[in-house]
Amino acid sequence: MKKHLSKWIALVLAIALLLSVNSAMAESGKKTLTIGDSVTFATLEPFQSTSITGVAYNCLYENLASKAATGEVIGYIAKSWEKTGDLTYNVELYDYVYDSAGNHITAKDVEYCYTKMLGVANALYYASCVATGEYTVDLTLKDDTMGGIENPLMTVPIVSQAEYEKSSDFMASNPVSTSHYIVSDYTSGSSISFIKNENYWQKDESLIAPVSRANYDEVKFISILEASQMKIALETGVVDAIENMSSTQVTEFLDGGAKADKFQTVDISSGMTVLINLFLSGVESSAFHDDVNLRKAVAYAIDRNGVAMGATNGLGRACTVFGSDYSGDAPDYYEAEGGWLPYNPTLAKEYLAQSNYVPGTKLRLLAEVNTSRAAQVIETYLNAIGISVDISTPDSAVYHANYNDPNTYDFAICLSGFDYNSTYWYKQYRDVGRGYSRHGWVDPELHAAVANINTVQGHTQENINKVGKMFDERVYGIPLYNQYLYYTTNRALQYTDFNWTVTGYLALWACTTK
Amino acid sequence: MNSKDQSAPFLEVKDLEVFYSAGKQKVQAVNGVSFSLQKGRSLGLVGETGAGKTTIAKAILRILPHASATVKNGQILLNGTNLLSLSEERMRDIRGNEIAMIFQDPMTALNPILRVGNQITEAILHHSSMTKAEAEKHAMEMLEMVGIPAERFGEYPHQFSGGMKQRVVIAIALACNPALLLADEPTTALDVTIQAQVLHMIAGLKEKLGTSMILITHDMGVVASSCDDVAIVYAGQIVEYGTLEQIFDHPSHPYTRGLFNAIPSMNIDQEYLEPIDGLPPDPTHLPEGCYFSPRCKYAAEACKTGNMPVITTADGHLCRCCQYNLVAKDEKK
Amino acid sequence: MLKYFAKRILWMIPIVICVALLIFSLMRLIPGDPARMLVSRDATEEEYLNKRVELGLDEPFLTQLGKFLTDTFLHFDFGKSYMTKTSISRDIGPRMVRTMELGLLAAAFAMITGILLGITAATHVKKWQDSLCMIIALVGISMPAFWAALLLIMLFSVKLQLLPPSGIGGIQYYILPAISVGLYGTATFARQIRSSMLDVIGSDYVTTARSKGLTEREVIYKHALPNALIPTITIIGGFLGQMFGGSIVIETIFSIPGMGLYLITGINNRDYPVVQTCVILLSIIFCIAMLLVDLAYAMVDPRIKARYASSKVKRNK
Repeated sequence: MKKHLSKWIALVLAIALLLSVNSAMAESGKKTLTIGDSVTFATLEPFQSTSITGVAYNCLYENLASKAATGEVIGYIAKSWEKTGDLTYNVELYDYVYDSAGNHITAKDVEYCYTKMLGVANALYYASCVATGEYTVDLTLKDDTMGGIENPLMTVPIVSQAEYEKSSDFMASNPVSTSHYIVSDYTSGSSISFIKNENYWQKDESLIAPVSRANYDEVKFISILEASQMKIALETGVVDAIENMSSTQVTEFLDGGAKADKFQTVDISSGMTVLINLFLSGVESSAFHDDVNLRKAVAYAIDRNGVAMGATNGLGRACTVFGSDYSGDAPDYYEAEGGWLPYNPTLAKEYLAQSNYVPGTKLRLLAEVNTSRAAQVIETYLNAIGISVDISTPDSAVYHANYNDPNTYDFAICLSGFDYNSTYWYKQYRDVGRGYSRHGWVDPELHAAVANINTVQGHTQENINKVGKMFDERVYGIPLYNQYLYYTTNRALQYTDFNWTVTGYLALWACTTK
Repeated sequence: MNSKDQSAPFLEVKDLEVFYSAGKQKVQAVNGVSFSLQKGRSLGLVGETGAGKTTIAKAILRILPHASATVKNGQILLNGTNLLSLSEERMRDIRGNEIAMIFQDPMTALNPILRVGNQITEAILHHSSMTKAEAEKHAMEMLEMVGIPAERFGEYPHQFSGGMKQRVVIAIALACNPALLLADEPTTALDVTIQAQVLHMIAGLKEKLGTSMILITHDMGVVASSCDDVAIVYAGQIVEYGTLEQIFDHPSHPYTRGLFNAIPSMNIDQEYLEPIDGLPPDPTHLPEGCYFSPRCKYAAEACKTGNMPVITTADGHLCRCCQYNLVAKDEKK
Repeated sequence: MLKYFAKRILWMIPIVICVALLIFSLMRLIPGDPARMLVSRDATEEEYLNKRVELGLDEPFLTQLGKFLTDTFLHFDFGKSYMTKTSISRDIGPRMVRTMELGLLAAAFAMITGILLGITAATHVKKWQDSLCMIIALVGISMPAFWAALLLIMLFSVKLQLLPPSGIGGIQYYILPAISVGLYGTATFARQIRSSMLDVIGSDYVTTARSKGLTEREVIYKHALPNALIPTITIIGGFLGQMFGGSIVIETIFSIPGMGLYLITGINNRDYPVVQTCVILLSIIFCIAMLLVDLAYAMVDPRIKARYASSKVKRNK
């Protein structure tokens, strides 16, 4: 017993020592920001097809341009750009861009990065990027879609070709970029630390991109995987802010909540559009094939508001148009007709009676694990008018395999992110190349209409309304709601603004403090 | 400890009473046992299984299980000191040092994962201030003494046969030269030839080292070859006590006679064995009066109530029977 | 003994190859496609098919299998993760170290507390200490690890602010996770030790030890406990093997990037190289753990050591 006792005492003393050392290393006058995120920071490589670093990406690399809070696209590595051909833009770069290792960024580097990205990522809007001068490139788009030049300017990271090729692991752990922050410490799967680059290339304060403003000397990102742990980390001061706290945990931090005196939240969901949708399958084996009455019955039976509230714990917003309210290109005739697709169970039952639905048949609903609540709410609404539903929420890989085969479901819940409604309509309802849409609808008229509306010329309010009417008639799918996205911060940081959102993230290090 | 003082016995047990608690029942294992042992002599405790012999030995060494056994009454005087009143610490000094015990089953008496030599030195180092090297030397001498080559010091128990294991046990017991050795059926688990060897060896050692011994057995043959005094134990009481000659030549108690009669005779042609009728009494419900009376062919009314008197039939020969006269008459026949 | 050791090591090779074959085939048989996980939701059919070619998944099964076996066992090249395109051997190193650290710490905690509880219970059998220890053991076995974890976090991180609630770093980050994981082990060890000890305390050699006049402490710790620990060695081996698989739930709660999380993320993403590498490594570790357990047996119990040596003798004859 004595032997063990002394071992225990030694252990306790060692722990106490370690703890005291830790707290003694408090920041000495440096301004640091620690942000908790649920991503895993598995790799820091610039040319990835999926976003593994989350909001930290904006400290790692700079793009040619970014979106300001106003929605305007501002160039920062790119000085300016102009349209020189049908699909071509000539982009001029600043001639004094340097990365943190001292490499001078030229048009050749930009060409290299854009070409590399083409080989890696999908759904890119450009076809090629060619250097035309020392600081100019010709960026050629794939086609005439809406959004045009904006997306390509904002989605490709710029690094020095020489530096990238020199790296032994494609910059997976030691990135060198033009960013205002330099990686000081990185543990794969756990955290990234940055320190301010005192030699940042843009010396003119007025020209620094919104997302590149560095108000902190050190920024650290920590991976926290479990929802309740995020809350605890914030409360115990391990982190200063949390990106995207889950709706089940965030309620007490909202205004009026128990912790609202010490913490504040800001919702950035209006700056981005990610909708949760219900898509109906149009293949022959689907119950909805050739049965518009059943489709309408389902549409009127669901209260989108109820789904939004139920699925997001009250922290979501139901769609009021066939698409997003924030994209600026929604049909505008809804108000005159009493709103788009109002909840009307009586009308739903009438349509159901006229449809070919055999009572008792189970309609197969496919959902992901994190949209299963929405699926359950939908099931309740449909049960209320007499439709039976069989929900299937397989694991991620099986979900994706099934989602891409419309024969495996009657309807499915899926996310969709986009900049313009026309992009959304085009992506979901165009002809995939074999005469039908991705959900199995054979509808040449609709396919043509959405393809047209996604081009710059075709993108008129008149066409938008026409397409809206088509959707009203057909009811191939229903955009349901979008979810608030909260950043929760400690009031001790004393922010005066939260204006620096960039493609779905909030650059807290750029926000002004007192 | 070296003088053979006739008047003060080396070991004296007075009115020892021990019972075990098994649930709600009380198992009366030892019911008023008294005897004494002179220095250098060996006493045989004879009786059937369950008579309480082992309990007496363990009570002397105070290694009865704490949870279930209780010493209700009695004194155990070793050279005048009552062992039952000593502190546990003082008792530990005595165990292995002044009193040692050998157990019945040699196969399980040794720790299988320690070397046999270390098991001997352990006892030596605990009770003396020898250095490790000295203790090892002494242990090897002990091994030689019990007839095991000293080279086998570093071997493990499973490498020895049953008889050799028992010798090791004896070596451990005698390593600190105890004044009293308690041997609980040391040869019961061995076959007959080994039995003879071991007994012979014990006798030799006893002679050489001057150890007193209490030998527990149920085998009259072992008693005959090894003991100076004999105590017959029945149902937790000593029913007869005397020297070897007295008991073997003049058994006085009906039980003792029954035991001798049960041994098949080598001289005459015997067709049937002569067992003692009946079974030993249930120790949780001992009969009134003489415990042997239900089975005794001399039993009378007087035997069924009260304590049986202890009669001295000759000098030092004690018998706990009120009908001993009848028994003696039978013998003369 | 050395021959026994060598034989066991040689046996590991066909075992690991079988495991590799199994996991390779199983991953490709289950539904779900890594290429689908890597292209965006709205990718075209062409982009998806191109991705399949890029990953080498369009080739026939046996070709893929051949390439996999030669790469893994001849060149020791475990390939790159489909998801992150980083070298798996480089990623897995620190993760395995973390999981093993956590596992060893948990095992140490479980063993120390389990043995103390077990001995206390056995030496005070049927008294209040025995009941108390067994109740603690019951709670340890019944309480799910994540619940224990959350309770510990609430107490030590939130209320007392003594230990960090999550993350990695110095040893203070591993204390709560080790306790959460080890609790189950504590209970198992306590029960096992108690029953072994009760067995052993009644043994004749313990009585012999007592009759030599040894102190109760010496009797328990020198004679009884070593014998009682022998059956526990098997449990320790199994426990360690489990630990090295990584406790996924604990790694998620405490945000410790270890093997468990790596493996489950690989499975969810159908990241074939990651899953294959993890499973092969785990099988090697498990084989080694079992071998060490058997060797520990031999070291502790000379009868078993003799059996190992003699079995080889028998075969030679």
